[in-house]
Amino acid sequence: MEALLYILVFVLALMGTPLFAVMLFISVIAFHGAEIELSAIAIEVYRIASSPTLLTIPLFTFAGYVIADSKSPQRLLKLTNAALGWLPGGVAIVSLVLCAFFTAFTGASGVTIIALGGLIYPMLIQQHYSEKFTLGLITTSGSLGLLFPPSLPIILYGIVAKVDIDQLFLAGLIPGFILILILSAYSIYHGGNATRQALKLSEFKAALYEARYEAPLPFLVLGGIYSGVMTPTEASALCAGYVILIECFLYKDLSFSKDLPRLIKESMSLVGAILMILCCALALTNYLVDEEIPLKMLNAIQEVITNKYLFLFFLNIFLLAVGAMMDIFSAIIVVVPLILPIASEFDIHPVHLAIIFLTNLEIGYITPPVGINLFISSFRFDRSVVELYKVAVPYLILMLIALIIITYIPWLSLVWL
Amino acid sequence: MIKTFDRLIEKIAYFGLIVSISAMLSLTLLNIVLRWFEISIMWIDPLVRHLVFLAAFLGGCIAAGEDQHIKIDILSRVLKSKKSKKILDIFLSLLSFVAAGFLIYAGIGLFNVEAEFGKEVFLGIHSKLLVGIIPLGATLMGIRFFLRMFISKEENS
Repeated sequence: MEALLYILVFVLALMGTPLFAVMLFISVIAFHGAEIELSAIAIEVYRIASSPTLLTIPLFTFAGYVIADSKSPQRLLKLTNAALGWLPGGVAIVSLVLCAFFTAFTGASGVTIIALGGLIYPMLIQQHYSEKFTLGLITTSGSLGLLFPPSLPIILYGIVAKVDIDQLFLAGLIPGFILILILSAYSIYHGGNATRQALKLSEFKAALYEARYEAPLPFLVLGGIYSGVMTPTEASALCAGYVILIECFLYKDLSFSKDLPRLIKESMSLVGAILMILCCALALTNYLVDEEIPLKMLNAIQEVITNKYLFLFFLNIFLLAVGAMMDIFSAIIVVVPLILPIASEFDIHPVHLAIIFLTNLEIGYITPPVGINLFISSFRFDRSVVELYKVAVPYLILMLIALIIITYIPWLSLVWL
Repeated sequence: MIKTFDRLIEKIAYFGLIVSISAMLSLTLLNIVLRWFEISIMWIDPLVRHLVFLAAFLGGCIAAGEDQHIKIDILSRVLKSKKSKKILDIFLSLLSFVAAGFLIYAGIGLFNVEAEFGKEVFLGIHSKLLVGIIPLGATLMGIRFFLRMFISKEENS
């Protein structure tokens, strides 16, 4: 009977039931089956209120929404274009760097493609990049900065896996740059027909002056945390406060009384959706851990896989499948508690595991059939999803090459620790 | 009538979110400034964490009305006719309403336990009020899921 109910819930999930409700249904069935009072679910839900880094989620997300809604994309585009546009494949590289910056601050929530797509697309087409290349680049770039601080998936991973967020922020830097480098190399290769612009120092200076308030933002956040001056929680408050100051009072792009309340609502809708899943999944994952499900999974896996490298290989395949089916936030919340103890038995450092996990899910954003970036681009550029499946393929292959490098060279993630 | 009630719930959540976010931001900034003067206020940290907890439910309430809760969105993309999409939407809203009901039930259970055995935690706030965020937030969310069944998707967004 219980098994049938689980199957039913699984079917309901595939039908599009919100995942927080799915988590709750499974918890109710499991707790009821184990004759545990349902109020125990509320105890697990309430546990999230004791998480010390919880505040970073709403504040960094809010700051990201404020930046994306201001004229900051235009200013930063001008700056990166002046700094990197002279390189071969320059405009494409500018797009990659800019998207990475925005994704890091907006948490890979699709905001990057919506906010920057309209700016970058005409610019690339004008520079004679093919439409196929351009669409693929923008679709891929929508999740490119996911490994850079203060990206929301990194913070969420840290909270769920109980790994220090500041360690994760550092660990993602080199793997994040490897992804950008590989895609930049492809842009250079592809940019043969593109026109190159000359480096003009005066233009760069003017663009830097224009973006003088927002350009230092990543350095303020990172510098603050790693100099020991601030905790990640304090950094999120300072980042949000600073962003309000510059966008509402220095640049005056946004109205404090009209735009900020709207942006609070928009950003908190996303935060609420993520935290509701986190709350409801806590009950389920703790139940699974109490029932020693990861241990049972480990025993089963160890019968087939005895080698760390083989495990990493199958882990990647499993996570790619997860990334192609689930969104990144629910995947982190549901899958991480299950694979964490197994990976630790195979002697994989928890920080390295985090980077492997997030890279896989980053690739999941552009993996058919349900990679979310494919749908956002389809909506944004009015193309069929099938067309986007095709343009994403070369990028998918490049990202997989990066994934192999990141997976099998742990040093890249662990060098700072 | 239904839409007016829905808008009222949305406004409550919206107002609550503005207050929570403003309070968590200013209190955390205040804490940083006070630390420079080696002053620490113990209640700020737990209060801020509970404000985030409250904001999670209020954000969930906003997301409920705007169909923004995260889901595996395959079936609705496959369905072509407006009518079948509408039926699916009503069915999923009903399921979400039931889920919110479970959360309210579990939350009231915990509230009762805390009312009997709990204590004041910070700023004289009793633990029953803090865990009371769960049934309160779930009720707001549940109402919006319920009302969604009667308000078409287009109208709502």
